Amino acid sequence: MAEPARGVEFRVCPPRGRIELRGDPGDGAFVEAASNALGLEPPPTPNRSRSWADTVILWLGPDAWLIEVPAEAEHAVARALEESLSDRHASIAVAGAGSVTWSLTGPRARDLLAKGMTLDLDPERFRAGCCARSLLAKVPVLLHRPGNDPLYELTVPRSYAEFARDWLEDAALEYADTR
Amino acid sequence: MTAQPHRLPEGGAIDRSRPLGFSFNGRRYTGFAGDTLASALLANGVHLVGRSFKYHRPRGILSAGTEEPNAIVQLGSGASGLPNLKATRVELYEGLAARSVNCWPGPWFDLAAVNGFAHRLIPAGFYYKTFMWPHRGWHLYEPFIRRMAGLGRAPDGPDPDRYERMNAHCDVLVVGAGPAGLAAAEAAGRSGARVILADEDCPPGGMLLGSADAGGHGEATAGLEAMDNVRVLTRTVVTGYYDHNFLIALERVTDHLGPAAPAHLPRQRLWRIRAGRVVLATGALERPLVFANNDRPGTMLAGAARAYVNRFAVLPGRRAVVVTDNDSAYAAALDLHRHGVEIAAIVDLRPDGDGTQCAEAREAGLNILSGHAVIDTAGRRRVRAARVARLNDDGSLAGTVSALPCDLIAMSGGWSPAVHLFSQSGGTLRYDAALRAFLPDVSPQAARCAGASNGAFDTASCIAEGHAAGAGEPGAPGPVQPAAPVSWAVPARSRAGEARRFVDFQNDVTAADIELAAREGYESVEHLKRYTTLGMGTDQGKTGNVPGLAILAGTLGLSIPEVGTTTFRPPYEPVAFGAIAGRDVGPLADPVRRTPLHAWHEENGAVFEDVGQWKRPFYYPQEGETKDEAVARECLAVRNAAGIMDASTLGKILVCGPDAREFLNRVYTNAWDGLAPGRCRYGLMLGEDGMVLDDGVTACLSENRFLTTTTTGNAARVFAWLEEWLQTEWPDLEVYLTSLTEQFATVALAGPDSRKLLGALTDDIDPAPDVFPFMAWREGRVAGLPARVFRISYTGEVSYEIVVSAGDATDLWAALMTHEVTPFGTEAMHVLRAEKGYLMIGQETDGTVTPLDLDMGWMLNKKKDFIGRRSLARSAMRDPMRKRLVGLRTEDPATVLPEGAQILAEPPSGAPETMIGHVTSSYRSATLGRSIALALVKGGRDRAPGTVHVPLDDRTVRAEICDPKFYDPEGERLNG
Repeated sequence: MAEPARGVEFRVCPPRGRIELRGDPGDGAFVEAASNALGLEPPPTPNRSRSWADTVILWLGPDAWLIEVPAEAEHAVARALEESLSDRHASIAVAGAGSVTWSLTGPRARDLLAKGMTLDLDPERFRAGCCARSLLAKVPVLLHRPGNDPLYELTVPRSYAEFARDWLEDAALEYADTR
Repeated sequence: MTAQPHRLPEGGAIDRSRPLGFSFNGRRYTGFAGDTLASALLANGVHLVGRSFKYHRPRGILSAGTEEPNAIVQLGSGASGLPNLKATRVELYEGLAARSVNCWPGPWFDLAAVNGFAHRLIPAGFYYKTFMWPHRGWHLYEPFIRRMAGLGRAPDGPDPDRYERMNAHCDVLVVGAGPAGLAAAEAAGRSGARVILADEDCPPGGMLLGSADAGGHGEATAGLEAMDNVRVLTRTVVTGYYDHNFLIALERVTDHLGPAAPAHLPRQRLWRIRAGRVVLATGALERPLVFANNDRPGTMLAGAARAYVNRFAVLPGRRAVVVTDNDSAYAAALDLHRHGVEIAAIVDLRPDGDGTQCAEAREAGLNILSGHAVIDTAGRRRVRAARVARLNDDGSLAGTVSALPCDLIAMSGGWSPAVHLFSQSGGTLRYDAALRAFLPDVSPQAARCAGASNGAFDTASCIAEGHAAGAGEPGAPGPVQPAAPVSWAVPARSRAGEARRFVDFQNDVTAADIELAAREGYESVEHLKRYTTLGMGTDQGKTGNVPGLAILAGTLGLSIPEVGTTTFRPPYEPVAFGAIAGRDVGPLADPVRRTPLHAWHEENGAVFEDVGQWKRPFYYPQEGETKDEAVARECLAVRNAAGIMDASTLGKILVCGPDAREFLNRVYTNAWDGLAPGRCRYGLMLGEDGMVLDDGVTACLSENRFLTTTTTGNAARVFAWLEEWLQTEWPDLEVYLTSLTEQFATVALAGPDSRKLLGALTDDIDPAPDVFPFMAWREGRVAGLPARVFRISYTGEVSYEIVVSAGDATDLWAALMTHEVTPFGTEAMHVLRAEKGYLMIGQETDGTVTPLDLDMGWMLNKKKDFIGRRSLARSAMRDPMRKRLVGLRTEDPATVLPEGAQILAEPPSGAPETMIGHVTSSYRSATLGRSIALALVKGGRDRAPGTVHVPLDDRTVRAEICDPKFYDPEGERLNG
């Protein structure tokens, strides 16, 4: 190959708290109540995330978001949401134990993902703050670019985690450092 | 080291400092880096490379590219053998070992060449005419035909090579890196677009590589590589063009390295490219001329001869006859002449060639025979002479025939733009009579041809067209070189010669075959193709198709556009199955899902069962135990004490919102109005056709929140189905669904001791039956872990499903294992539920079974509507002779019926039998000390008591129809 193999690294992130929130973004009272509980507004823009301090909110669908918080805060944040949204039509579900997140870094991280994913991962298009649900090698995943380092966070349902790790390791063989 | 007697002392894009040894049919030769197998063979004077498919005639290298019909070779052997490669596309590497295909023992002496003498007996369509009669004869003929007609040897083991797949997106995909493609990529790249330039060859350059003035393309390539937004993929052939500008390309990553390929790289990589727009600069393919014995080794396309001499510094002959019906072959004649090939004559079918190169040829003193044709050739394993005659204006032969001794015939029957991908894109073609070629017309996709693929044959026009196409500007039509109307097939002097004017070299289709097919009524070009096999070889008729259909048109007295072309289908080039599979093989073929308790199961010797993508413990054999013994032990433990099972795979859906209850009413057959918080209820879900889709227990968490469970295999399907109803049919319902399958782990604790056990593990849940009744749930701590406990049962015993966070599963399981409990797997669960006659989705149901068939009419609420209700109102759904659920007791209690066995009302008579049903579940029940089975039988329990007959391979088993509730029919054990 024209360029030397320089590699990609991926590692499991420490457990984190996750809350799946569903509600109507057109309902101002819902947005206000959710924002009050979370300290920031759920992003209305498709495939965008928003973060402040320890909290990240990822857009999952027109009426669905994933809220990432420190593991120890998971239940407290869920309770705060439930209280704040008690008179709105909303769904709040604690989901932290249900998935595993990897961080991927390195110049070939994008190529590694492109082997199993049909999304356009061009850094100009899938920029920091972008997120998307898709399939990686038939595994349902949530891909997020939190910033420039790590390049990507890949969230995989817990039951698929071992298979996904095997797939990633296999796909990374050609990018292994061969020095 | 063998000398390369036909290699020029200098020139060519080869690296003479890197000689490479290779073998062909067991003989050793030497070539240079930069050679193809074909050019290296020619450098060693090897023209005879194989035998034709049908007549096994000696064949030589015809082309220098992907259109090659003759030089088909096999590389390697065994599992890593690669069949049917084109020698013209195989890059040489040290140690390459190639063999001819389709000849035995070898191309020099091939036993099947006897077919050539019998060609009168094997005309077009001979398979259909000969081997289909008598009807039973085909199985006698087939092995013979397969052996004689074989093309290459299939690998005999799993492919040891590694293949990868890559998805890519771009604004502009440029296919082909000839002058038009390079210009298009550069223009698109300069505009800032994301560009992928894919070329089947290496290096880029296309036709420029084979022309005398091969320069310029190196600079263009370097310029492209300097642009960040341009990705150049060499050795990458775009093979398929699908809807939405989605294209497939195959990159040969290490094929050219042979055994020296680094282990970490794949052999090939399949690119799946999604392009904003596509520039097809795929060039043009030269056509052969159709004359008698035009297939003798040493007969070659003129453009190929030119490429061998210029790019590879190889002399394809010493004395050449160049025969053409257009100007392009004059350049070939001049290049050959310049490198020392004696040009015996340029035979031009046209009365007058008038291009600039014609004038140059005259100036160079070359012998030009205008208005002449090569009408036959002499030689066997190599051409020795061309027989030349003058043509009348109507194309018939005139005058005397002279023989021109030669060892090379370089022919050109004009050029066919490579419109394959354009046509695959959905593009229509138009026939240009002046160019004598099909040209791209209109594509429904953002696809555009540029350069020779668009009919622009001179380099300047190619660059201009490529530039415009790359920049997305309108293009000006290039100058058209009018071609004289000359005939598509040169008549021969004899009938034998008529029969040996080859059109499709790989499949041995001759002009006479096409004429015969037309006379026999195969007038459609699609029929012609299938009847004669024209264009059906591995080369897909890239050289012969247009002459073939032109001959058909001539025979039928139609114009070429009236006849039209056959459909161009992917792939443009053959693709290895391995490349399509990529890494979706072996353990990575399909995702495997594991529960949070998987490691414990594995460590404790569980045998696993695949349920959808899940791995579930099937049973846990102890030392020396068989499967039956283990399952019996697990079943008895649950019936007599307590067992625990990992039920984490069940689908779990949170149904939330003010309309949640109404939603459940609509999707389940039973009513949910009265279900209070703290209670749960079994539900049955139907498809719109009234057939059972899924079942499961739903708990009311609070007035507006319900937790629904689905079967393991249906979890994703049911979730998508429910979302679809909400989004498309009932958007007015205020309900949100959230899948919680992955968040929670479930452990089922079952058996008469389970109440006591639960009590020992919890301080805040009172298991007393009066405060925690059947079909209730409680929240609290179990083994110190936050849990929801559901008192439900799939075994008929007192049973609790303990649901905890997936992260707490191993702690819960470990706490349970400190007590007297027996882990049980899915097989014991199957037996236990069958003993109770409980339905198992996918076992008793197969998409054709209604609740009535299962005697579950009591689940159908009559006061509300639900999905599937109206379908159940059809009279046929109430036909008592539908297959309905029954129990079966075999006469011999030791006999376990096979699942799926068919059931007869009477003992088999030997005549065709009427099946009245089939066995759906069948087990050995340790609890009952006998076998039990569930079955779907016409008439159901209306037949009870009664005997049915189950014919097996070696005997017929008698069984009694009975109540499917084999054990504890009153359900007393549920309450302990």
